[in-house]
Amino acid sequence: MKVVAIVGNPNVGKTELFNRLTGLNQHVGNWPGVTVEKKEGKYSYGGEEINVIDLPGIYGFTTRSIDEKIAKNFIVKNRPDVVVDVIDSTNLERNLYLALLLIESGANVVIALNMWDIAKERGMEIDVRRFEGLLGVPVVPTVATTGEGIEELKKAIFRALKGKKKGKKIKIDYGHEVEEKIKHIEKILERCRKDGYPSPRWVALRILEEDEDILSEFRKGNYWKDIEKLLDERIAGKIVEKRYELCSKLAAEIIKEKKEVKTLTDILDEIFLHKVLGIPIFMAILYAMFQFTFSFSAPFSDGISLFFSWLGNIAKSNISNEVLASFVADGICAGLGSVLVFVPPIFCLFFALSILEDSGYLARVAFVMEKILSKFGLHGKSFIPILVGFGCNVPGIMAARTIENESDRIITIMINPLISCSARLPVYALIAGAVFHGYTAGAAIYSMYVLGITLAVLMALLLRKLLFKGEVSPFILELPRYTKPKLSTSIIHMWNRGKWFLIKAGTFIFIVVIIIWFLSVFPWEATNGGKIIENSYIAMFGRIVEPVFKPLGWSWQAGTALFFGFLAKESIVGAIGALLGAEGEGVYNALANSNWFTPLTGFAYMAFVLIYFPCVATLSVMLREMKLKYTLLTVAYTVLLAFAVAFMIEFIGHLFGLS
Amino acid sequence: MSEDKVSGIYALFVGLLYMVAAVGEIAGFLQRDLIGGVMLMVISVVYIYGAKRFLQKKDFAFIVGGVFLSVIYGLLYLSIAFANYLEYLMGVKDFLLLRELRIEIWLMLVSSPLIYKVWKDIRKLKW
Ligand SMILES: Nc1nc2c(ncn2[C@@H]2O[C@H](COP(=O)(O)OP(=O)(O)OP(=O)(O)O)[C@@H](O)[C@H]2O)c(=O)[nH]1
Ligand SMILES: [Mg+2]
Repeated sequence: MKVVAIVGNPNVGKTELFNRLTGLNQHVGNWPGVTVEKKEGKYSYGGEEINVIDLPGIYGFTTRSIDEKIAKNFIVKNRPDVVVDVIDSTNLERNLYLALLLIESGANVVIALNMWDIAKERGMEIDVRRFEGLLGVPVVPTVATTGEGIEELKKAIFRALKGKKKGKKIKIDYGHEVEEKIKHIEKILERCRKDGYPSPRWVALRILEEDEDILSEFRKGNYWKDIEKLLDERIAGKIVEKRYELCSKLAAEIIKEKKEVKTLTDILDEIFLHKVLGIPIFMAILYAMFQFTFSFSAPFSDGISLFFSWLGNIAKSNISNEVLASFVADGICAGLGSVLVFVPPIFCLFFALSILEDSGYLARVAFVMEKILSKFGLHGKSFIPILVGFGCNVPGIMAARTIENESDRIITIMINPLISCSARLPVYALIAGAVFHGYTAGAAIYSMYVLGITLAVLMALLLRKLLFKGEVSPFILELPRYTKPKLSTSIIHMWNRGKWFLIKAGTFIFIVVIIIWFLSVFPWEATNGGKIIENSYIAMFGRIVEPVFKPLGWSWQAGTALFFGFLAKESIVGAIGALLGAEGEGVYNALANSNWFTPLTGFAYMAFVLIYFPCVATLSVMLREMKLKYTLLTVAYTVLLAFAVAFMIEFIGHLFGLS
Repeated sequence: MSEDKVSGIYALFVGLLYMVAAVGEIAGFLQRDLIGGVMLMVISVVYIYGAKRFLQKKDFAFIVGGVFLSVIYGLLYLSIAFANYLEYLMGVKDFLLLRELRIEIWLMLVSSPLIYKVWKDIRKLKW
């Protein structure tokens, strides 16, 4: 099967284009570094089955971070049959740099001139035919978001696969001095034959540019001494400079017209990037987001809750077999119902997050937070993993791949479990809703998010002081353009992420709920059909763990529920629901009437759930992204910190006379 | 007085109103909402700073910022009021219109001349 790779600078619309070509739904967002691993898809055209690979964004072949290396290695080592270079039309000059590198590497390049709509809107005029003529590769204008130009692109890819040429490919003349050196190295290479690389000229250039990946392969060889003599930083600089020169020359010829206007982006950046007000404004936006999530979703949750109570009551009165009736009412309706009640807030949260992402604001937040973060030993780019972590810690941790420096990256990963993911929202919503009233409940939930960020930042400081000494490395983050978020795309994004909650609820949370039901009603005689939970199997387990949570004032049921949160934090509400057996009144009321929690112990419980243990999915991605010892350390510190913070909250609360 | 000057002074006025409301929410004269009050304080500061910049340097940006936050908070509490009304219809909550129309909604109405002006000026700009 033919392989087509999609490459380009970050945030130019590669993934959007990939989704268009393949019909898949990979995550798209308006900030650089969304895609951090390669993704595969397929389409067929002209009777040919074509394999498409979406790659992380790169600026050039000098790569430092993990995501960039993935993209580079795929292009250089796997040598795809066609490379589609996606270019942001409004940023032609800078994007041309990568195009030149790709052509130079001998790749079979097709250029997609994406964001064509915005270029037109801005009154830019780009001469596509001249572009093709100058570079000698096919160029197709596209609008990935609407699908305009996708058919033409497919056609161009097909023709390129069949080996049809578009004139003579551009060849860069680096000037006498550099060309001499290239020839010299090419001669040396003839003797040692490095296979698997594009061309001797390309290898020679990479050597002169001192590309560590290539140099390290030659270091061991016999010809290293000859090569080493030729290395010269000045030459490396010259090569890069020459390419930049060519880029601006080409851009000047291709772009016929360009108007400079003061844009809305300038105004918005003045506000959002303000050095004092930027952060309070961000906090205000965040607060609005969480209030919306919690309060707006309430009636929808009530609806679901009422539905399950109704269903539970019907089951109780219509099923004659007592065990079965209890299974349906107390197990499925109460347990699963109490999880599904949280579909609305989670979808609201994802909706708000996707607006934050698509509007282009997310990258700005990273930018304004940088100053504070670097004081605490956190890298500026760490804030993107933090914000992504609000959705789910797994992609949050993956997003750390864009951080070049290894210790910066590990710190960022180690603190991510403290960021309150959407799976924890149900627990907060349940407990806050049961023990607090009105806007206080919303404020209590908001404070969990703030507590999470604060602890994460403090933890980073501690890790920096103890384990990863040294300075925070500087960072450059390209600011994306602002766009008006579209309702339809936000809804699609919401669904793409939210459906995982439904899938989890339908699979293993369901199983957890059944297990808990079973353990809480059996032995059937002793519990009198689940009425005396104190005699059940789960109560035996509860007794064992009770001493651990007793000092915090939590009932054994609350403590037991925590154990099921290891699998996924949503399971805690399922467990609470099943343990309360709350089929009749809805899980909120049941908990409010249960005296499991006072406002103070409830709040401490929320904080405990925030911190106490990364879920299984988070653990497995941590193991993949960093060494075992760091993962173990993360587990250890989260457990200790959870107890410490919960005790602190209750202690301080008591000082203020709360109970 | 020029139209610009009026806008600037009006923004200052709105900013001060937000400050009063903020103190009200924090101290509990209005609905008691500590964090909500702090957020009103932020909006207030953005407006006041915006008014200052606009009157001194003709820089419109922070008035845009204030309007942006006013609208977000106004719509937020409108949508919450709507949600509470739905809950009332389902019979799970009581509903008092005056309590639901929080100060943030009224303040959005007070800022509407500025909203209109910002919208008019911004519509012409490219993204
Ligand atoms: N107006 C417009 N927006 C586009 C177009 N293509 C993509 N976008 C938007 O640009 C943003 C970035 O798109 P992505 O597909 O995530 O970009 P990417 O190149 O995959 O980014 P990374 O994975 O971070 O390197 C998204 O908000 C897209 O909706 C286009 O042709 N026109
Ligand atoms: Mg992408």
